Amino acid sequence: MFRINPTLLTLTVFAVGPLTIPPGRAVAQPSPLPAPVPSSTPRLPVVLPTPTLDVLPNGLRVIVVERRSAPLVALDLRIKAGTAYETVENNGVAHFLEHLLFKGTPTRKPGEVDAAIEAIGGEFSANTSMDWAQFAATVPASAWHTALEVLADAVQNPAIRAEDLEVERRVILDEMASAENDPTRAPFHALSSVAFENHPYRLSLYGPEENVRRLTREDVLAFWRARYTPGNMTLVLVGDVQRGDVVNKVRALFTAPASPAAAAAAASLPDPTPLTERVRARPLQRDRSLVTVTLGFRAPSVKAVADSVALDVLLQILTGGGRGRLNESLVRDKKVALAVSASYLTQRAPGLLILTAVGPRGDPQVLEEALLAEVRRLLEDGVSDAEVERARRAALGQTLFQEETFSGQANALAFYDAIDTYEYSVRYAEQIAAVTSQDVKRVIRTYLTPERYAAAVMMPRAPTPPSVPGREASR
Amino acid sequence: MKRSLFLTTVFCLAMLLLARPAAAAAAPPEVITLPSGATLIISPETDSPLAVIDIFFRVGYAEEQQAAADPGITSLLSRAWISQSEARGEELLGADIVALGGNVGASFGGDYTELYAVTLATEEAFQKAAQTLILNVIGQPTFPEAAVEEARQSQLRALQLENDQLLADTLSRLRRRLWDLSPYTRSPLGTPESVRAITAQKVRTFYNKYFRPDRAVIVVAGNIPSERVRRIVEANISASGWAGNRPKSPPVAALAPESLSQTPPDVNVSRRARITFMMAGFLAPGTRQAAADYPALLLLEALVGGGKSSRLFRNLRDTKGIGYEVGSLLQPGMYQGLLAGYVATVTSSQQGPNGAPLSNPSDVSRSLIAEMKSLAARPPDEAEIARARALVKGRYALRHERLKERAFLLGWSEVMGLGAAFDTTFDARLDAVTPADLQRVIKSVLGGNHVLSMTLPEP
Repeated sequence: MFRINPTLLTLTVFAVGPLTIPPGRAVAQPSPLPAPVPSSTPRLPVVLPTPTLDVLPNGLRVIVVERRSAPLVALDLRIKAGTAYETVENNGVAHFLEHLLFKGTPTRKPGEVDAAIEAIGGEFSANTSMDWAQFAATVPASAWHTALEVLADAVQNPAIRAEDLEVERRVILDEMASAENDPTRAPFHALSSVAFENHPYRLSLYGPEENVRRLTREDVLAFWRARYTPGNMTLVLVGDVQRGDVVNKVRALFTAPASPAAAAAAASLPDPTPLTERVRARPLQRDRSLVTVTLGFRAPSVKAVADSVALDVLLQILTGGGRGRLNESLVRDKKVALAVSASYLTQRAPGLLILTAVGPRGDPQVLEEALLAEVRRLLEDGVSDAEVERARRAALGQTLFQEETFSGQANALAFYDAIDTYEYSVRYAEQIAAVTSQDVKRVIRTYLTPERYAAAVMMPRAPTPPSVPGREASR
Repeated sequence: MKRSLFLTTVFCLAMLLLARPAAAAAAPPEVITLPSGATLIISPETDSPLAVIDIFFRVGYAEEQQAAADPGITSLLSRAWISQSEARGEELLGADIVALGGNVGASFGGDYTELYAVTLATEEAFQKAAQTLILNVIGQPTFPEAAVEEARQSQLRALQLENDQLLADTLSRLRRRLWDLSPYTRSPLGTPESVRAITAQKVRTFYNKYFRPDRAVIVVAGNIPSERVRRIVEANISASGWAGNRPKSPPVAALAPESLSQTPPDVNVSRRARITFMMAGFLAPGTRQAAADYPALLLLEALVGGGKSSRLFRNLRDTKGIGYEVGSLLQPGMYQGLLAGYVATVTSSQQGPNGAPLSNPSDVSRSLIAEMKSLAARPPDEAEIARARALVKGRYALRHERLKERAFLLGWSEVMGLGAAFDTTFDARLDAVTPADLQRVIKSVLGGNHVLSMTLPEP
């Protein structure tokens, strides 16, 4: 999954063993769920806590997993209110709204929403993606009622005061300035802008700077009214709770009426135009000493479950466990790259399989060619059964590691429910275990086409900055 | 890969889901000094299907200076450690690790180096993990030339990547200016020159001198009877010859903390970017010298910039709209720590949106430092302290969701001089901090001089 979070400062510990990477996993199967996995497939000796679903009369979906192994409860509210629901004119409004929601309500002054959750030992996190907005927290089990009350108040009754709008406008401009230099976010946006011609996925999370400066309180409220309706929401609670208590509490707190129009809008999203050639974003010149090359290949949507899961296994073959083909080839053997990555975010509509290489100052074409050489090797030589088996294990391990925590499981359930149904998360392990080398070869042939992809490059500005960045001086 | 192994691994990983992620009800750990001199900490978790063996050494990159070793050798050693042993070649050791489920790794900090494995909580699986880690990796590592060279290349790449990161670079410059003679002034990864100078023989010498049983803290957490844990650990130490005839390691040095007699000049770097990243750092008491003050230090960090109700977040970002990334960090050290506040924002003398003037770097840095120091002038009230206390407790509880992390926190607390019991009595220790304790720590930290490190846009 792809999240944008404030930088975390954890520099005291330098892990050199297996790294914990948030899974870029994709899953899903069209509804109704596919037939059970054939009996020849290894069955998983796993008894996972089972989620329950209750749909309230106003359309709000409530998913509960009762896990009593810790006195904690993870809450995750996912709303079909991401960037893909914007237009060119209001691009940036979903993210702007995410910033404003916790600034207060008619009964809570600025700062009181966060103070209320922190007073019980929790912290709200908020994220916006293409398909959804997320608000989440993990709190002591004894205080989940309080957390839910605060969350319900914040998303249903945001004050969106004019003065808060101006303060957050400036914060967002700061966030955009930070993102400009970010070797992940900036190339991703550049890539999307050329890979999704005339499709909502081309819109940037922040929107253009002129939109951020121009958006009004009424623009933000209009988006909130249109999208923040119960039928567009999934609320997941995982932890030491009882389903009946949760449903009753949610029913009492989320009282807005159903909005059929909003739900209908959530269902319609066209597929992007297929990539028919190589398309390139304008090179980004930044004050960095390294070159980043990012290639995006059209990837399946959440509806194409077999392909989606097979792609997750392919990701492990490419870069799993800090090794994988890209690492062995570009970093260890050819020594043209310092780091490589492969990612794929499952979305409602077809998205991108992204290959990235970071290398020292030099010709970005070298990195691009090295990535393409590995793509061609996959097409020509395929993958071995042993490689696929190792990759399946790694994909599964990554998933289970994520869902070990309450917040990890809540995140997975809410994520899939916002783009299709939470049941895909439940079936994911079985689906991964069923992937064969033929499946992986099929997705390689279908999606990895060296003649049809989008490319974005971030490179150092000229003149060259010194290898130890910047000029150091005292004053 | 055989299907049975696949299923074993899947089973092992799946059991993670069923592990008890609670800190609250943890039984007190048993702390034993073994005949070899190693400390063994056993944390019985009878309802956990997993077991963790987490081995700490009281040696980190801060020790490199004492040892007159090449900077970066601890990092390189960690990277080359799990390669081969006297009895197990690369392939066999690799197979051992795969058989354990692959969840084996190493990490290091200023004051420790760590090696760990997660496995099933059966005696057979635990015996295998102990054999792999203690008998082979700890007891008889060989650090072959090829593994050291591969580790060197990996570390050189990490250095290049780190230099390209704004935050890491700003913090690194702050640390260099904050400390003068202290080993904490060093870069954990060393420099390209020092890393190139490290040979396999130097790694072996450093290892043989410092990675001795008397510096080892072995944590075992999981559902294995204590007596069996002790017997298996001792048997593997004995079989390895690790505790044999070689001398003990030098005693852990008691380094005197440094002080900033005056506020040194700011450390400024220009980059051609629109964003200014600034960080103000203060020296903080070490965890060994001032273990009793560590809970108060955690509260102080939460008050300064932890969460969205902290002073920095409320008064800089929420009220003035300064900065998207606003917060604080605490880097604890055994001898001395670092408390820093940071802001990333667009600064300029030019006009900003809607014709309003943008903040200039001097104004923002003054605000940053003033907000931090305001805790001394305007002590936090009861509600502010209660909020910080709840936040610190909540964050600490979340760190206990995984068995591996629970084992880590026991070992880390022990090697940092806080004692393993610190982890299991955390909430009570936090509750015991009085407003007077807090104010004393606030004054001792924020009443001192500071270092300001800024990465500025080029004029």
